[in-house]
Amino acid sequence: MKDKYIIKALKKLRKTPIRREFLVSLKSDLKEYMSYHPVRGPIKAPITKPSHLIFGRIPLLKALALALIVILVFGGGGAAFASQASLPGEALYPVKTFTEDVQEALTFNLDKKVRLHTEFTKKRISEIEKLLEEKGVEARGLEVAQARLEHHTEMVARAIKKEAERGKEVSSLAALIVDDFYLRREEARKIFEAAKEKIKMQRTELHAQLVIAIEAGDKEQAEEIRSEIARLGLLKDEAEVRKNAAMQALRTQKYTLHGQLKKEKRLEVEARSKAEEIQEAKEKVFEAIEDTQEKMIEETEEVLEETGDILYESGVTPKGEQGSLQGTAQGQPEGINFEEIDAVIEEELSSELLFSEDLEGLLEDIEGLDNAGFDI
Amino acid sequence: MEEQFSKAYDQYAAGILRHIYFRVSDWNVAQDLTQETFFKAWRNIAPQGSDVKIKSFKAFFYKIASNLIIDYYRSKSRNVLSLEEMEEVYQKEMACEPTQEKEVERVFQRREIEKHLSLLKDEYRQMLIYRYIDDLSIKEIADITGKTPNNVRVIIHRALQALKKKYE
Repeated sequence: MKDKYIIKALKKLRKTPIRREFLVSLKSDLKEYMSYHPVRGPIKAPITKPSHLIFGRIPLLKALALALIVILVFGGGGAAFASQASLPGEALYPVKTFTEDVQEALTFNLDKKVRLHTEFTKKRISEIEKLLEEKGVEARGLEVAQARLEHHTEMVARAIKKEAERGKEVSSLAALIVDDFYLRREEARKIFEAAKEKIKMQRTELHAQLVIAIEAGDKEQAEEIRSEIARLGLLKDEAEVRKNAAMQALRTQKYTLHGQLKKEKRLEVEARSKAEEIQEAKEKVFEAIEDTQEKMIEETEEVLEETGDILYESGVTPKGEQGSLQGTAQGQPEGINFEEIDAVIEEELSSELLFSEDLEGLLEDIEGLDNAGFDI
Repeated sequence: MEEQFSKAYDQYAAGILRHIYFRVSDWNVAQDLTQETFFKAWRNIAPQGSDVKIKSFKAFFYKIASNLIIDYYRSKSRNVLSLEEMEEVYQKEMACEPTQEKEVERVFQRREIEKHLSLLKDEYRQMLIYRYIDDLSIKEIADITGKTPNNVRVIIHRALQALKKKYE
C-alpha cells in the first residue's frame, strides 16, 4: 500500500466530529475560572454579583430598602440614572440591576409586577443585541444578560401561577405574557442569527484570503488564516448555543403558563409552536448544507496546498511565485522538468549523506513525489 | 492577556481535543484532559503577570496536553488500548453510527485507520497525529517535542512504514 493512501486516510481523521457543546461549555467554565484567578491579582468574585459583605445576614427586602434610602439621601440617584445605559460587564451595570431589583421588591400589584418584568425582559434582549453588535459573541456580559433574562421570565410565570393558585382569574394576563414571550423569542432568534451571519461572512472572506495565501506559498499566513477560521467557527457554535439557551428560557415559562390559558388561546399557542418547530427544522437543514459546503471548501484548499507543496519541494516552483498551480486541475502540473529532479537526487545520493539520517529524510521526499503520482 | 488566551482557546481547542482523543482513544478521557490542559495553561500564565509573552500558544497547549497524556498513561499503566478493547470501542461506536451507506463506509474507513493508529507505539502515533491530523509543520513538531527537525522527519517516515505494516 502506498504511503499516499495512508496519509490521505490519516488526514481524513481531521474531520472526526467532536462535541462542540463541550467546547462551548468548557469555554464558559474557563472564563469563570479566569475571573476568579486573574492575571497577577488577588482572587476576587466577579463584580456581577451583589456583595454579601455589604448586606450580611439582613433580609433582602430590608437591605434593598436601606440601600435605596442611602442612595437617595446621598444623591446616588445620579449614578442610578447614569447606569441605565450601561451594559452587562460594565462598571455601572450592578447599579442598574440593583435599581431594578429594588423596583421589583417594592411593587406589590400583580399587573404592575408582571408589566415590570416584561419591561426588564425587553431590556435584556436589547442589551444582548447591543453586546453582540459592539463586542461579538465573546462579550463578557452576555452570560449575565442571559441569566437575568431567565430570571425575569421565571419571575413573571411564577407570579401569575401564584395568583392562579389563589383562585384569581389570570387567563388574560397569562395570554398577554405568552404573546410577549413569543415576540421576545423571535427577537432573540433574529439577534443571534444576525450575529452568526456576520461570523459566516467573515469566514467566507477568510477562505478567499486563504486560497490566495496558499497559491502564494505563504504557509505562515495560511496557518494564521486557518486558525482564525477555526476560532470563528467556535464563535458561531457559541452563538448557536446561546440562541438556543435564550429561546429555551422563554419557551419553558410559556409552558408554565399554558395551564392558565383559555382553550382557544391554547390552540392558538400550540399552532404557533408547530410553526416554530418547522422554522427551526428548516434552519437546521440550511446549517447542515452550509457545513457540507464548508467541508468541501476545506478539502479543496487542502488539495491546493498539497499540490503547491509538491511543486515547491520538487524545486519546480520557487516559493511565493504566483500562478504556480496552473494546470494542476488537469492532473499534470505544467513546467515540471523530471530530468532536473533526477539530477538533484543523484547528486544528493552520491554525497556524504549516504549513511546519515538526512538520507532517510531525502528518501521520504522522493517517496512523496512518487506517491503524488510523478513518474520518478 | 485574558483576551489573547480566549482567542487562542477558540483557535486551538478543537484541535487539542481531537489530538488527545487520538492519543487516548476515549472521548471521556479526552474531554477531561482537554479541560485540564486549558486550566493548567491558565494556571501557568496567570501568576506571571500581564507582561508575560507567550511565543506560541499552539506549542504551549500541545506541550501541556502531551505531558498530561503521559501522566495519564502512567496512571493507567498502559501505552495503548489492547486490541480487544479497541474492538469493543469500535463495535459500540459502529452501532451508533448513521445508516446511509456512504456514510457507513466513510465511518468504517475512519474506524479502520483509528484502530491501526492506536496499535502503534506512542512515539509513532504521536508524530503521525501531529503531522497529518493536527497539520503541524516539522519545525512546530520539533519545538513541541524537543527533537531536531531531521529526527522528527525520520520518526514520521518510520511511523508511516509501521502503520502500513498494520494493514498487511
